Amino acid sequence: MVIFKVAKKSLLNRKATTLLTIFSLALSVSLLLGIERIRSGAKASFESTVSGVDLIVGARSGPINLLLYSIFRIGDATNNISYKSYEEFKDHSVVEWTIPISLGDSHKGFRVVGTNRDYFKFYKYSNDESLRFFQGNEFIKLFDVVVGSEVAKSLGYQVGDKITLSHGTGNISFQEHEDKPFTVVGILDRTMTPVDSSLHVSLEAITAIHVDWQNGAPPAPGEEITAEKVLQMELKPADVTAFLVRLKSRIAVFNVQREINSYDEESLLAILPGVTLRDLWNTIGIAEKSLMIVSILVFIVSLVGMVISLLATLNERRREMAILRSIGAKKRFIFSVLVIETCILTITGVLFGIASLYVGLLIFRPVLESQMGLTLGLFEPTENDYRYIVLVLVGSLLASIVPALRAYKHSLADGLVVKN
Amino acid sequence: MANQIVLHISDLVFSWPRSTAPLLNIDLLSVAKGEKIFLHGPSGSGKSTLLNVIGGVLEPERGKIEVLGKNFSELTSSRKDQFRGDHMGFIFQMFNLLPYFSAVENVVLPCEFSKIKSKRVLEHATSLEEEAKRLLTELRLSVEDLSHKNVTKLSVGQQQRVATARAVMGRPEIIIADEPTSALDSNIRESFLKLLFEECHKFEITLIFVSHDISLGTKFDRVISLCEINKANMSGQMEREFI
Repeated sequence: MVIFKVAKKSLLNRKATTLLTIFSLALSVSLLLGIERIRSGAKASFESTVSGVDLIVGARSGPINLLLYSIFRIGDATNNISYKSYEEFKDHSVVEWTIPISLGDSHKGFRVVGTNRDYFKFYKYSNDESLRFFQGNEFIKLFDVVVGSEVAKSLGYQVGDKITLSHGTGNISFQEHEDKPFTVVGILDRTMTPVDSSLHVSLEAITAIHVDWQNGAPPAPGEEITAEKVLQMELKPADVTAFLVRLKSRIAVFNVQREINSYDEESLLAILPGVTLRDLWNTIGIAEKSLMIVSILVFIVSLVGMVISLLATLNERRREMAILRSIGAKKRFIFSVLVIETCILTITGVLFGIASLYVGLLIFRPVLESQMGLTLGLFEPTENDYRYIVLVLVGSLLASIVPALRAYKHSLADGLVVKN
Repeated sequence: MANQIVLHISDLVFSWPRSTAPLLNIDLLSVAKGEKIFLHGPSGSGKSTLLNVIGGVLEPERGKIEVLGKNFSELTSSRKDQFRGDHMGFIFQMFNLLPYFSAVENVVLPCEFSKIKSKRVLEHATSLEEEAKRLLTELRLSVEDLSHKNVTKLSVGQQQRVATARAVMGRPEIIIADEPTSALDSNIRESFLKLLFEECHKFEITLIFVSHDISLGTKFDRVISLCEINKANMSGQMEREFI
């Protein structure tokens, strides 16, 4: 078709402008799709933090707060729940399993999670993946600790290393449980979830390191109970911070939730992790949305740039259009040439944008994964990707009307003879 | 068939929108097949407008324009565009060529807009390119030289000859030349005209040659002064052209 030939050759005749226009379109398209990719990746890894849990139970506070401290290990619980309440629901007839979580201690900025061995058995993340051991195995003895992969990596721990835990969750703690050292017995595989940044000990160990504490204060001199003595004692945890519940049948979930929320003995809160995860994502989603808006604006700017560059050349091209008219080109031909030129620019821009996105992903994916725990799909375009590409194409088609209409008007005014 | 009428204009009135005085008011203009007409008029006398009307780009207010027996008032504007592409060739003063096409591509171009032209060429030649090259050679251009050069780098004389080849390509019935020699030096002006005449003669093409340079008129079959046939009020035109 002669019209494509004219459009193509005319664009190639203006190589510098054409390349710059394509470059700016490609940049904005890869920005648009890149941010979309990061967004969906972040959302996916966010939602895969915990899996297979029907209810999360903690002391009554806000659902998001409970989710944050129990799963993401961010912030602190306002209150603990008694071990008695935990046991009551643990042995509930419709409950399949529970995982207790006891928080409040840390190690060099990493959270310590007091739990039991069910944690390694039942805790699931992503698509029903279980925790696996990179080295060693579960804690058996009282002062055993299992560390997450990030902890092991950044602190350089190996199985057999001795560590001490600190009281409180700050990075710098003045109250060390240095009298009761722990031994690393296991290192977990990477999960890309907060488990990587956690240290896991038994509930009894949490009790043990606080056994001689009074009302949250370290023991007065002379009242310390040594590690050796503790081993002889029968340790029964007084409370837990939260617990995760899996039901035998999901149908019962709302009943059990209601039962927990209206528990008489203690004020408890049970949340559905999926629902609260979504609520939380929507709360922090403002940042994501503004990123998206910025990238859409960048795209609009590059569209405007393209229209300006096309408009700028139109005056010089009046003669070209008159020649085409004299040869027999119809008025709509002149209009279409500009539309097709825009399409060529945009499609090339989109293709280059996608190509550079993939190149960028290939380069930066490992970095994002190791530094930020963000797993991004490579060649798996989402539905939104297609939506954006269609939006880009439609947008530029609409934008092309501006130069096309102008060329059309010029051509009407000029006829076959362009006045100098 | 020597008296076959190619172009027949009667009672033509043309005025620009929002202008009360007509720019063109022509009672009769008739051109026979194979004629070489020299249409003369000072700048601003409505030459370009008349060419646009004959080319079917501008619509007259009233009057009849018949080209090759076709009444333009019966054709839609896109039909007229096609008609122009099928039966006419144009040569302008300068910058006749599409800068991003090679000389050969420029010459072939009319055939891409007109099946009739393309068919006519292929009756005698094996390919459009071959015919384009043949025409260029006939117009004393070296196809070899042209292929290495961007058309904008050609001399004005060369460009005008490429434009002539393009106008002749596909043997249109009418060639309209709008001041094609005014940018040429006087020494090549003669030879250019000679080549143009040769081509027109060979294919029995009617030539309408527009110029303000009256000295060229003697070489044509007929000289028509636009000022004489155009009854429109000159002052009215002046107003539009110079204000």
